[in-house]
Amino acid sequence: MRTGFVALYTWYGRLMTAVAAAAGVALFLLMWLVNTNALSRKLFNLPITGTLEITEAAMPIIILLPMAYTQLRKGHIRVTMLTDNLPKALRTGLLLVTLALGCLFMAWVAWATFGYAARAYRMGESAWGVVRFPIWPSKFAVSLGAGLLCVQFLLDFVRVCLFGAHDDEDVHVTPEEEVAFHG
Amino acid sequence: MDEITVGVVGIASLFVAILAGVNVAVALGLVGILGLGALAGFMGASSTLSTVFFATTASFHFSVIPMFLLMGYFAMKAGLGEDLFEAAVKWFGRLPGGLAIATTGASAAFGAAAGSSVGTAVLFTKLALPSMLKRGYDKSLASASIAISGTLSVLIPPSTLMVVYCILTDASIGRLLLAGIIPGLVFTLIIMVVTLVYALRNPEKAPRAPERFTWTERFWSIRLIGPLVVVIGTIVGGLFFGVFTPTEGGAIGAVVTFVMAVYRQRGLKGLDLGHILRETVQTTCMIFAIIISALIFSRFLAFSGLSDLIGSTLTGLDVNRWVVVLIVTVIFTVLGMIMDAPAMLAVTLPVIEPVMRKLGFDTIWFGVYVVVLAELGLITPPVGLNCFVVKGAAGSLLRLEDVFRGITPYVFASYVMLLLLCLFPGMALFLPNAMR
Amino acid sequence: ETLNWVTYKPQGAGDPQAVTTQWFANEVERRSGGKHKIRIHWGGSVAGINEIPTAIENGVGDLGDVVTPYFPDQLLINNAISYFWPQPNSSIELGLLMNVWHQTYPQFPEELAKYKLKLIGLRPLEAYGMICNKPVRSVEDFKGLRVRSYGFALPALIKALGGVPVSMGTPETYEGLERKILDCSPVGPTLAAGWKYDEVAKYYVELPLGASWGHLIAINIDKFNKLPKDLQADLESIGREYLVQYTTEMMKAENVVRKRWKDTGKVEVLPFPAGDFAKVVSNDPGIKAVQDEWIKRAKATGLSTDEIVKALNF
Ligand code: NA
Ligand code: NA
Repeated sequence: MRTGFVALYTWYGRLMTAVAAAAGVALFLLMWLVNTNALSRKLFNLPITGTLEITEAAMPIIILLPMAYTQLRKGHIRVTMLTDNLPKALRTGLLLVTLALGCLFMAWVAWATFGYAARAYRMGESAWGVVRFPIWPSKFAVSLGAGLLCVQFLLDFVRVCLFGAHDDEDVHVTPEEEVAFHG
Repeated sequence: MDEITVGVVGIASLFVAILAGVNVAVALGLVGILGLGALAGFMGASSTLSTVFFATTASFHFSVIPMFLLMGYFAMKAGLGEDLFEAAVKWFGRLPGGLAIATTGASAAFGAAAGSSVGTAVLFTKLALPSMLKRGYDKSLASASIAISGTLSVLIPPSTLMVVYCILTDASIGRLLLAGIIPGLVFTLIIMVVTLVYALRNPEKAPRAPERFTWTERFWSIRLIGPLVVVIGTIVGGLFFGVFTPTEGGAIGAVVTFVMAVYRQRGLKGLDLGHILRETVQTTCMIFAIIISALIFSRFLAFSGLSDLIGSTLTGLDVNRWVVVLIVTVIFTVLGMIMDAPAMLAVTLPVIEPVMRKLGFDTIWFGVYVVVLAELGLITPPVGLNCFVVKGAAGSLLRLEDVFRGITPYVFASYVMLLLLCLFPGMALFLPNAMR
Repeated sequence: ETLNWVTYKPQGAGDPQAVTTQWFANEVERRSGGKHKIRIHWGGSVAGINEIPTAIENGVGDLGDVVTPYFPDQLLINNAISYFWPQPNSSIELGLLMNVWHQTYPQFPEELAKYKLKLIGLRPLEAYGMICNKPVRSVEDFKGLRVRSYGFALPALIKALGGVPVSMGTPETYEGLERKILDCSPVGPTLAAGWKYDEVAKYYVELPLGASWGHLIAINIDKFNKLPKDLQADLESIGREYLVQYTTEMMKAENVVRKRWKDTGKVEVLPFPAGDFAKVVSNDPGIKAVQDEWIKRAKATGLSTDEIVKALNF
């Protein structure tokens, strides 16, 4: 059970890392696109068609898909100044509540944004401008990002249930798991 | 329960949730959406959730945030901060608190190329903190001075936070960025003086550097700031000659520092691009999660009528307008404690900025004033983004409490800065008006 | 009864949109003797410009301004005018046309009803020309100029004139004009003043683009049906008067801006040969393609488009 969970957690962590890497690459490409557009506009009076529209469509994907990765790396901010002084059992309990709340909130977000994306898909909604392309993939990405984070919260919840919380909340449990979790 | 009461209960719940260790983004978002649900029904709340994530992120303007972060990481790999620090040590190393003062100067200079306090704070924690601790600096002084100096990046253009302010108030981005220059330099000086005085009174916390440098060595070290001058020159020049817009400037800066980093690291391998890109999206994600959640919370407050009440109380107050400034300062100080800077602006500006405009305050001046208050919020506990970032980048070198313990002198410095802005509003308005 | 009005407009804007939104709320209160009220949530404080229809549909707000050009797929029929731009009508004429179409063709209200929206009032925007930082006096002068573009009709028009469409957001257009990244931006006088473009561009070209399509004031249908009869009647009559109130305010504001331009000499108003412009516009295949797309998709819903198309052509 414990070994199985570590394997699952590790596998999911690798997947989320790959998602973040893909978002990072998209951002890197966007950086070149914006530059090329500006230079081509200045030098040749020839802006790259659709730079603004593509950037706007790519931003939700780049920003929201890596939400789970950010949680995996404990990159979402928590305040532990007060809770640090509590007895360990209470602290673990609070951490579990925190993770459960995060999971519920993201489940709600994933559900609500899925409906919004599905409607866009049904009406074949496009990004309108100099260029036209479907906008619903960006809207689905929002829902997917929230869903992935929801799962990450759930996995962290199970992890703390199985292995307990570490003294330093941004480090994982035992050395053995530490290795596993950092994949 | 009437709507205002729901709003007050919401704020109380937010405090409890944050202090209980709930993720800041989850606390803001969940309390906000439950509150909205209590007032507008479940479907209303779900509808807000369904649209706000996409509507906030699908924005060309906000693309500047990840671009500035990217630029910060590339600048670090290009050794920009390192070189700058080395030069600064040669000039300021013998001063009491000289290394902290040098770090402040370097942060300010770097702030002219980077737009986010997070990026600058990460950079100088990595570059300056170990050397300061090695030379016997007090952990609190060293880390807190880095945390406050990082915030100079948001006052000195380019500035992500100023872009956020302009988007929220429809003010001119170009004018606000210009307005930040002089106050940015003045605030840099104030922080330096505060560090100097603190070091003079507590010499054991900031030992002076043993080595002496000749004037030749000092002047020779100036060459080290060359790359930074190129970066700043490219951005400022490009904006001035109409090659790109301020929003595009982030991407241009990222490319310039990328090229420098590749050169410095002798190719892509040493750059570890994959790591940088992941770190960038992670930080971007953390910032946006908080921005969006704060927006949800602010919509709840708006719908509850509480923000209207604050606004109308402020406008309805038959008091001197400077008393209103004082009240606004208190509000922002308190909110700044629990919220990070973009979140605080998103929550408060739709209500407070029109009030200030009605009272005859220039939107641009108020923008600078608010940015200084937001800088203060970036270092005050319990939610002090820059302190988190410094602690995060420092790893096991120090604890979060160490950073927070050191901020007192810099809170004082911030209020001195605010007072000066009130006494001399021209400090902010001179440049934008002169460039007309 | 207190109704929540959600708008993206900041109250501080003080422009005809903000002024008449407040007027609407005041009228409801006045005519009901204070029994009914409208609470306005300004400046996107409850829902952003892209979110307002969804917000009204789900009861976050009860009514608000739906900026139809932002929803070309969702509100295809009600966006007719956006696809036919430039067009020859003034703003009040557009408002009256929309009104007639809503009475004549069931597809107009039905499309709104799909999203639980009911039309209350109309807010067509002012007649647009172009603000430029170069003098533009003829179609030839447009050749190679970088013109700010947004939406779906403008790119075709700018290309037809020989210009280069440059996509740029509203706040950034100020810097774009100031630093000559843009040569021109299509806009009307009051909006040019509101966004302060007239600080950085010296010429207002009277390009006869016609009124630009704008906003619907819409209310949640379920909410409306549950309202007391007197309030329903008041909302409908104030809504009808709104068009006149709004266009009057707009003309007043436009006169103020134009007078200021003349008195200060900061902006020079340049006439533009309307005949040449009409010739370019009516023969351009790109512009026609945009129009044809609407006709095709609108016909698919069973709408008879002939009269509508006729009213919108030069
Ligand atoms: Na900066
Ligand atoms: Na704070």
